Parts: sequence; C-alpha cells; structure tokens
Amino acid sequence: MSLIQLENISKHYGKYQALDQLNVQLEGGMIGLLGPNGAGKTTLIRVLTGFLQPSQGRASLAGCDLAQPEQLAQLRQQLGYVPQHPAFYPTWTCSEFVDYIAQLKGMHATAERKAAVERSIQYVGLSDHANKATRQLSGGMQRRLGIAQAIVNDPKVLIVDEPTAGLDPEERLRFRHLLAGLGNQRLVIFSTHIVEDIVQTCRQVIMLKKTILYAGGLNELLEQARAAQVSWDLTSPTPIYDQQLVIVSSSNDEQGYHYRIVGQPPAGSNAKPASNVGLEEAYLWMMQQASA
Amino acid sequence: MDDATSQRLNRASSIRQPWALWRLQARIVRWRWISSLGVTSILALWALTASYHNAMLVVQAIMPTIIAWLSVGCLIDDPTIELSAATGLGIRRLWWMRSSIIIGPSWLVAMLCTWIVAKDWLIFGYSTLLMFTALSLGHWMTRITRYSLIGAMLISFILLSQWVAPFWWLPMIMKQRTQLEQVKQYLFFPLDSHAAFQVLLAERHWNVLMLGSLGLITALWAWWLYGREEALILPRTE
Repeated sequence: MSLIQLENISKHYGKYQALDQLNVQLEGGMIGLLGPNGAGKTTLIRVLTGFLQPSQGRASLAGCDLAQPEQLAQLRQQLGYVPQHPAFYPTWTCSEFVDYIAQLKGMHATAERKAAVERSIQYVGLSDHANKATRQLSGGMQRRLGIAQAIVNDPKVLIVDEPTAGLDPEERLRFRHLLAGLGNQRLVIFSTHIVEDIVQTCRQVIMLKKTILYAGGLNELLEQARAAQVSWDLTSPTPIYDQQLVIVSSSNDEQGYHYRIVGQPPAGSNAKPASNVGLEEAYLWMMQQASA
Repeated sequence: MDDATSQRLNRASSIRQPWALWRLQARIVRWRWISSLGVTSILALWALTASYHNAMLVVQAIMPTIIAWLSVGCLIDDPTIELSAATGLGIRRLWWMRSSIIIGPSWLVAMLCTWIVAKDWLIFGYSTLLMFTALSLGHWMTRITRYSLIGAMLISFILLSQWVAPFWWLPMIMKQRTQLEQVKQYLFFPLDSHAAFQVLLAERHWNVLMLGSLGLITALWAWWLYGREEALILPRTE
C-alpha cells in the first residue's frame, strides 16, 4: 500500500507555478525529499500537511485523502511536523511548549500527556534543558525541540523540513541518527538540499524541481545513473577552470590534476567513465536533465 | 509505545476544547485582550462620567475599531502558527478561540456601558456590527500585506465607523433623503458623526433594526468564513 500518493498535484501562487503535475506513489519508511532552493519542497510539504490546498490534483498521506476535511483532521492527529524555521514562544520553557503542542493534538488526559512530554524531550536529549526558556536554547537545541514537539503524540507520519540547514557537523550527525531512529517506526518525510543527509538516512528519494524528476529507491537511482554513465574521471596536467564543466570533486598529485565531472566530458580529453556513482552525481545529472 | 496507547493519545479532539487550552490561548494573546479590555474599560468609564454624546462616540466608533484592530493580528503575529495550524487543532479553531478571547470581555464591557448610559440596544447593535465589519476588513487586509495593521485600523476607523456607514450607507438604504440633508451638515466634522446617527435614529423605524440584524448576521458569517480559511496567514507568493 502506498503511504504517499500524489496525483497530478499542481500549485500556483498567482502566475507563479510552484509545483507542476506531481505524480508519486511511495511506500513507508524514511523518504528523502531532495531539490535545490526554490524547487517547491516547502510548498509540497505544506500541501502534505494540509496547510495549503493544491491548485489541482489529489494527495493522500497514510491513507487519508487530504481533500476530505474529516480525513485531514484524522491525519492531523497522527502527524508530526517540524517546519523549516521552527519558532517557539520565547518565554515558555521547553516542557511548556511541548505540552501546549500535545494539547493542540488532542492529548487532554493530563497524566498521559505529561509522561509523553517527558519521554519526547528525553528522546531528543533535552532533559537537562526541559525547564529552560526556549530563547536560551542554541540553534541545534531548538531543532531538537522541534522534533520533540513533533513526536510527542507518537505520530504515524513525521514531516521534517530542512532540519539540518545551518547546523554544525556534530549537531547534523546527531540529527541524522535521531531521524534514522524515528524512521524505523513510521513514515518520515525528510526534506533537504544536502545530498549527504539523504545518503546516510533514506532508502527512497523524491527529487523535485517544480516537477518530479525521480521518485523511488535510492539504489535504483544509482543504478540508472551508472548505466547512463553520468560521471567521468578526468586527469589533466594543468588545472581546469572551465565554468561549463560540472566538477564534483578534484584532487592533485605528481601525475596531474584529477577531476570527477558530471555530464559530457570535453571532446578530446582523456576522460573515462567513473566506476562508482554517488547520489550527488546522480542528483546533478538529474538537475542537468531538467534544465536541458 | 503500543498501538492502544498511541490511539488513546491520538484520539480526535472535540470542538469543545478543555479549559487548559483556553487558558493557554489567553496567555498567547494576552497583550491583545488585556489592551482591548483596558482601553474599552477606560473609554467606558469616561463615557459613564460624561454625556450621552460621549458614550455614543465610544460605542459607535472607537470601541469597535480598537477591538477589531487588536483582533486582526492574533494569528499572523504568532511565530508558531504554521506548526499549530498543521497539527492537531487546525487554524480555524485557533482563530475562533483567540478572537473570542480578545473580543469577548471588551464586548461585555461595552454592552454594559451602553446599557447604563444610553439604554439603547439599537446603538449597541450598530456598534457591534461595525466591530465585526472592521474585524472582517482588517483581517482581509492582513491577507494582502500581512502586517498592515495600522492601515487596517485607519481604514476601518475612517471608512466604516465615521464615513460610509453614517453618511452614505444607512441613509441611502433607508431612503430617508430628507434627513440626509440634516446629516450632511456634519460631513466635515467626522468625530461628530454620532450626532448624524442620532438624527437618523430620531424616528425609529423597524427597517433600521432589520438592517442592523442583517448586517450583523452577514458579519458573523464573514467571521466564520475567515475561520474556515486554512491558509489564512500565508503570503500570496513565496
């Protein structure tokens, strides 16, 4: 059964087309939503949370048709959401805020709610800061508090919008582990423009640039990219400054300058097809195809 | 957590929200309802010690405008609104709860003041109508420019409370053209529009009451409709 189902979803703001004819059918687990800035990731997430109505098409999440108010209300009770810029009431403590969100989610039985709040705060490692005002938290801690409020009702669906943007490497690593753990038990939609985050945590990926470029398994995508020979290894005696080339990585030694490029290599060069293709190369290839 | 616990925790919330949630909403919009109640109470006290003339000024123009102004931003000023709207309660119930908290106490004070000073429910009904209309207009404006609260206040104050309703809208619909001539003498003194309104009410016709009721129902409907709008606080483009 498909847990995410999009049929011809389009969204426009006036004349600006944010999403164009999205069609997706994916199963549960951890799903990465990958695309450049302005690709429509946040708009798609707002459609999936029911916050925005699509201009056209039909979307369902975890078996709930988002166009049906009753089903949308039902989904909201099972949904955890971390917006791109999670914001809190600055004078409230972490516990108070998570408790408030729990009440909004319909958790009215006090004892159970308090236990759930404590559990979620503990899960994200903020127990020592539970009684601290949210304005006193660091950026990374605020992101973790965002996760705590999202999982307080043990949701079946968790949607996280660019949670690792702007975090230091240590905090980003911690966040990945956190999300990977949550993805074992529920559907997690993880939006990001950082390819490495997807590689480390997701088995399925949706690549978006206003329209769907790819939706499916990560391994299948890499196989496709390998078969299409999307990346090449190139060695040059002198540095290459060609702005037309999409250079993914570079190094140099006594034999010359070594480059990994995506797309067609320059004519007459000694480029050889790369034996291993990573997601970053596949992603750039997809973006090139979309721009072509 | 097992399925049973999860289902119990995730049970659907009812329309009637618990007292604790009302208290939290009141805490979130506290400066709005306290300001609204404070200003209305001060004006009401002033009206009680002053004349009928001043009392009418309070209930007819200033009170509804202030309450409306303080209510329109109760969602867009909330930093957590996207989060609150996307999960659980939804934006519609939040809008209802918060605007009720802001409007309710001030409205009761204004009602009491009107009754004590003027004993005139017609005037009170008219001011309530203005309040909801100004609220609707202000709310509509916030959808366009998000933070144009001052603009909403000025427009609702001048356009609705002072000019359109007393000088044009009511007289034209009531077809009391002879009295319109009397009304027009106040045209260049907008703050004296209560006097113009008094002239209009000199002969109490049922059509005034019916018109007021119709307006109030329309305004309440508009308020309800705004509450239904899920994407209330989003800008038009991103």
